[in-house]
Amino acid sequence: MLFNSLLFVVFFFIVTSLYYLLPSKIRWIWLLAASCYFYMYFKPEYILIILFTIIVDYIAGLLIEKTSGRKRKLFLLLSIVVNVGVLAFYKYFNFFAENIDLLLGYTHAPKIPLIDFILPIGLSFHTFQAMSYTIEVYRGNQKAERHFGIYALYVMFYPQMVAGPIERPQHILPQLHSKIRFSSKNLNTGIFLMIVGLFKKMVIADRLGLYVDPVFSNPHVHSSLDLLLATYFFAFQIYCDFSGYSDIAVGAALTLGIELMRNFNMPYISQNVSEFWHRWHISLSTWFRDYVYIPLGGSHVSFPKTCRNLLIVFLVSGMWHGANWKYLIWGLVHSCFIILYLTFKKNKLLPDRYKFINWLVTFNLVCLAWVFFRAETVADAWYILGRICAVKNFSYTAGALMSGREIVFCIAIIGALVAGERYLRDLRDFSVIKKTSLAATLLVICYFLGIFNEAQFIYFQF
Amino acid sequence: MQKFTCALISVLSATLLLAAMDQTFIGGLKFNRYYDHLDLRQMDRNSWYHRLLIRSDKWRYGDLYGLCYLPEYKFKLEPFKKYPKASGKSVTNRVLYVIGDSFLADKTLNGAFDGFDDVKFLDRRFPFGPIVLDSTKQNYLVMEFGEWGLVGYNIDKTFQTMWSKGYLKVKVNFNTTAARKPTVYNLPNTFWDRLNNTLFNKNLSRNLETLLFDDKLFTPAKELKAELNYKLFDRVDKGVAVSTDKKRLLVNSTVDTTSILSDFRNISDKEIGTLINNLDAANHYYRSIGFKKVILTIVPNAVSVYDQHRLPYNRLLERVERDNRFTVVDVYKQFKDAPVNLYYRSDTHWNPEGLDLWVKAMNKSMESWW
Repeated sequence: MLFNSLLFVVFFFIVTSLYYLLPSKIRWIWLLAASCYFYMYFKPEYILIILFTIIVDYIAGLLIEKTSGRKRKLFLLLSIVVNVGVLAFYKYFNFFAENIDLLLGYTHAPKIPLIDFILPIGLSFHTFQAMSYTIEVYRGNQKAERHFGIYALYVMFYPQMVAGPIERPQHILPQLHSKIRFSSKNLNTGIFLMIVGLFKKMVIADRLGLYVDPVFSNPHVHSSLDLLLATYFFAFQIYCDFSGYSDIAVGAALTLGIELMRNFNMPYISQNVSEFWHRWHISLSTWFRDYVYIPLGGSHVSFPKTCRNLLIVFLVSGMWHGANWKYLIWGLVHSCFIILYLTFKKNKLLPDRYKFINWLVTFNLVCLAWVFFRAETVADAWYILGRICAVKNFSYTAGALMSGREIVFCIAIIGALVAGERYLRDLRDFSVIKKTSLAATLLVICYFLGIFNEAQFIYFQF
Repeated sequence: MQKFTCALISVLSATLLLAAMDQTFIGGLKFNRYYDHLDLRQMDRNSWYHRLLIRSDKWRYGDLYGLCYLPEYKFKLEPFKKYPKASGKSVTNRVLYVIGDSFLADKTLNGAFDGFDDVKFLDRRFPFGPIVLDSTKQNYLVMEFGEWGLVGYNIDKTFQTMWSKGYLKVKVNFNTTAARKPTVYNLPNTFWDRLNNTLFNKNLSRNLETLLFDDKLFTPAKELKAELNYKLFDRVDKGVAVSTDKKRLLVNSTVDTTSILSDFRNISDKEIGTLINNLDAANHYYRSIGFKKVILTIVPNAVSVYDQHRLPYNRLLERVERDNRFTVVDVYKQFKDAPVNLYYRSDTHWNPEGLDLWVKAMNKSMESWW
């Protein structure tokens, strides 16, 4: 089910209102049933995959807690192998098969058959959330969950199950156990956040998509300026799409009295690429930091080893996004940026005084990397970058896709977003009247200037 | 108070969702809203059902207006002239079958053609059973196509040769006895399919929109949104395009060069050849089941008549009609030269003058058949 659909609006009203009508003790049943329906709406059969991993991780959690020494490690390993195995099978099997076929093609070996299926939606998200549970139980930071239903709800909680934020058990499980009282502040703040998310998605991301998607689908017919504009627009399209989703997720959870972690913190104001990763997709960045980067030694090792760790983390992060070389290169490019940044910093070569220049360079580097992320293929990405750098035919030729007036509107709305986000940082403290009037204004803009095409959220594919 | 509000919201939302899941109810609603503007059926307009739910502007001002809601193209559709059977007409012992599309659907044509006792219309868009001809009369057939409906035509892929049990139950057009080919267009049969089709139906959002917002109460807001987006950004609904002279709405797929149905898509001679062969196969099939004569007539797209210089036109219609394997009733030139407007400005189809011109052209052509 898509957050930007009418079905979700009705679903949300039913789930939230009935939730507060039910006694606290049985609310988990209602939320779990609602989450199952939410997930099954995409493809009902895939609920079996998620159920399988839930059962495995639930049992693994109990066994890890019960045992010690090598056995404990073995159970953790088994749980990780199952989770990564499911992820690898559904997400990476065809990618590896194609690439192995390509290599074996030279030896005329028989081809590995590809599997024809639709990728289960949000697989990477809930798999990572499930893994975080067993790892935390293993580390002793979290008690194994005895209540199977609550554990299942931890993995399947509908607001965040298909595109995060990827939560930690210490943060969510206690909230699922607690007796939540109705709070009008939570309700109105939650609904306000959801409207902000819808605004970002329908008014900004989907309108930018009207230009970005056709340009990136067919870059060879566009001028340098068209491609440059598409690159900048994509930076904001993906931000508004994903942070819009996160806002709706956080808001929907808050209406149920459950707080989710913040996933974005104005990433495009970053002064360097390292800071960007502290502000972008925070739940994934911290996941990799806690479960990959720090176990590898983090930055408490020699500088070359730190660089190696960063390279590994970003390559894995790239792969997490999708089974395609372009994501791998995107990860590689980011790791190079951070390594360069650390090298400059170590040698005190960074001009701290010129904040604007730092911001400008950082923003453009991030946009440059986005080209690999968004282009259909790696070859297209190189073509786009080459064409932009060559500055050939620097005129606007995409008038059929978007008029000049609409381009100006898009730029203005991006400006409004940047200013508005600063203003909305303290929205929890806004008065009810302020929230209501702002929400009403945003809703009116959403209706009149929003794109109603039920476009899927970009991060759903991961 | 808080519990009461929650209960009220739950009940209302759940009722709405259940109504949206009921495909029969939604289908009936859409059907009634569509036929309401045609005024063909005797509906009780004073009933609560009609007063509350059949208040749509989606069809009343043309299908293209109903997609884009642009107020400058809000024209009420004039009703079509009826051509009923004349009472004192001499018997000709000839029956005319017309296999056509939305251009001729829901029209009264029984007495339109002087040389025929009766006219039987079969809607190509819906399944119909085997045609059983009247052996005591001479049977003629007109294959009518909208220009864009020609693209990809193949009689072996039409409903006529692909009946499913589910559709046979519906018995559109004719009673049928048996399916000639295994089920292709299956209605849900198993419990799982039915459950899937109800709970997880992919049209639930659209059904909710039909229930909640397809009402004339919301038309002003829809028009304002459409106007704002058109004036500010030159954007209209993706199903619609505005003609170069801004006088009418056009079906976007007949304009958009990336669409297979476009007037401006380059169509190779090979593709035209395949299409002509497919039409000829249909011609042979219908002749083999007893039709004395099979006639082809193509209704031009509005863009072919009024906006063909927008981009290089592929001239699909003329290239097909040029082939001498068929008897063709060609109306394209007459349509282009007509001094009056022949198409609704806010709808895909011709207007009463367009239909009348076609009927006259048919009658004139028929004079040479016997």
